[in-house]
Amino acid sequence: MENSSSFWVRFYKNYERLVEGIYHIYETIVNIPLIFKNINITIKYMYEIGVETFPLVVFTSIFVGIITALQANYQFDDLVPKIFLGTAILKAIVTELAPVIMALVMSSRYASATAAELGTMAVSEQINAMIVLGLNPIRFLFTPRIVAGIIMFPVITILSDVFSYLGAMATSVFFLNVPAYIFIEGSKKFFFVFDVVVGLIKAAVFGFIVTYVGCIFGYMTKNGAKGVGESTMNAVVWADILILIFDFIVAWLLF
Amino acid sequence: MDKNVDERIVISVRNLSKAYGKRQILTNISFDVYKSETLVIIGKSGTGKSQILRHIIGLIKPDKGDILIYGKSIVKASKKELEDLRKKMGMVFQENALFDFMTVEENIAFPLREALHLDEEEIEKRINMTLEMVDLNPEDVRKKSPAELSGGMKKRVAIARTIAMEPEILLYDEPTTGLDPVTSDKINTIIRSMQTKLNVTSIVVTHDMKSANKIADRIIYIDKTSEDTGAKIMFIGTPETLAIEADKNLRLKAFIEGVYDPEAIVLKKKEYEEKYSEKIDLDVFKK
Repeated sequence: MENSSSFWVRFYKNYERLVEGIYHIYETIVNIPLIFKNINITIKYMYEIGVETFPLVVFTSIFVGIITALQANYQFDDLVPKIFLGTAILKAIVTELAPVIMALVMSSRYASATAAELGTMAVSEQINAMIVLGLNPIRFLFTPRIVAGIIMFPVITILSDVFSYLGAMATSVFFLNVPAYIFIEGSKKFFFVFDVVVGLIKAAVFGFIVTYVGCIFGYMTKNGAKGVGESTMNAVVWADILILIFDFIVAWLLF
Repeated sequence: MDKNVDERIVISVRNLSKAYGKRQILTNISFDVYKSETLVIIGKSGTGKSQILRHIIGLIKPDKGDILIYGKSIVKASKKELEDLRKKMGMVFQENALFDFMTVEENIAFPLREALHLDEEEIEKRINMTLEMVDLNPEDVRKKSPAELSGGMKKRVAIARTIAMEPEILLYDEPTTGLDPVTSDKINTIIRSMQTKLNVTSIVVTHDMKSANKIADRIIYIDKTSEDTGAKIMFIGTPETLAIEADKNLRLKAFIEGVYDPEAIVLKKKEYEEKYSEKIDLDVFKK
């Protein structure tokens, strides 16, 4: 029996959880048209991701801007004209820093919360109850969160772009003796809308990763409270790893 | 088999075996459940009683064997067939599994709206009707969240949510575990009334003998003979025959009487003999 089973059957047996994890991506996507029937669920998650995180996004972004400005100024070290400070900072923020740092911050906040919530539902058999009652858990638990993530991560990233830029400009003006108009003038040089688009595409991809990883680790939780703890940890670790891997992949494909 | 008997079979479990890794849980479990009866599965904790229910409703696939619901295999069913078969069944979970992010009425309404696509008027009717059937005042509990309810009330809401779907088969996983004796009795009465009012076929998994005796038409006792082998069926029959069987099977007797050590029963009988200086044939206690 073992010998006669095909490669895929053996592969499935050995990597059952991995196969299941990837299969649910398909099911999540298939269920997207159904979100309009219960659009209020998706809106609730959009609010959670995009609005409730506002203070965290603003705080983190301003500091990202401040540090980027100080760091860039140090590295320019009087060798590069100060007008290019704005150029370098804006490009760094828009294409890389805002999407990636927001995704990492959101993975700690949202992937963990989602994994813990769905994990608790799994161990208290609420997910089994949904299945038995004829409710598809993927449709009601995964898809609305993932759609909310894909829509709201770019929104957060735009906010982050703005506040990081303001933080960097304020730092340049008050600490680095670069007047605002020079900073802005520098920013306009070599600025391409394409850079913003790349940043937003990254954000949407990260939105999918953070929400999906949170959902799938929560969904597959076993073994009570300890299992919930492990799922939460694994969700954050894997979301972070995948964010960095896909940051590379998107950059490689688009630049 | 007699054709009439055959038609009365709602659930047929055939040679069910399941192992997790090297640990055998169930070995060759076979039984039939007839229309409108309440079958109670008893056995110690960890013998795999709840696993049988999970197999029947298709949450777990067996390693070997088959389960037929109205003659259709739930093991080999496609996704669509599985959904159709599940519509005939309802399950009340041990931990109730109420959706804690919803109120009581939303818990009942949600599956009616999304799985059965009923209109709001009908949903409203069923919420009130089912809550009343489990002896809860709809006005009092509707807007409450599950966290605000007591254990017994949660169980009753869980039963209400399940019967609102109007299943033909009801599966209860340890319905009285963790409840005080009075509340347990209330739940037993409700389970019994479901059978008479709704004419449903029920399987109840429990280790509460009082509950088993009150609600069962037939009882199945499962037990492991050793740690390595999975649980097997040791007895199937009515509550009355269970008592007779228990006189022959020491482990069953110990389970029914709630004694940890089966040998203790032998000692108890010896004490009895000495006290009343009567001879009791001890062989009947040893299988």
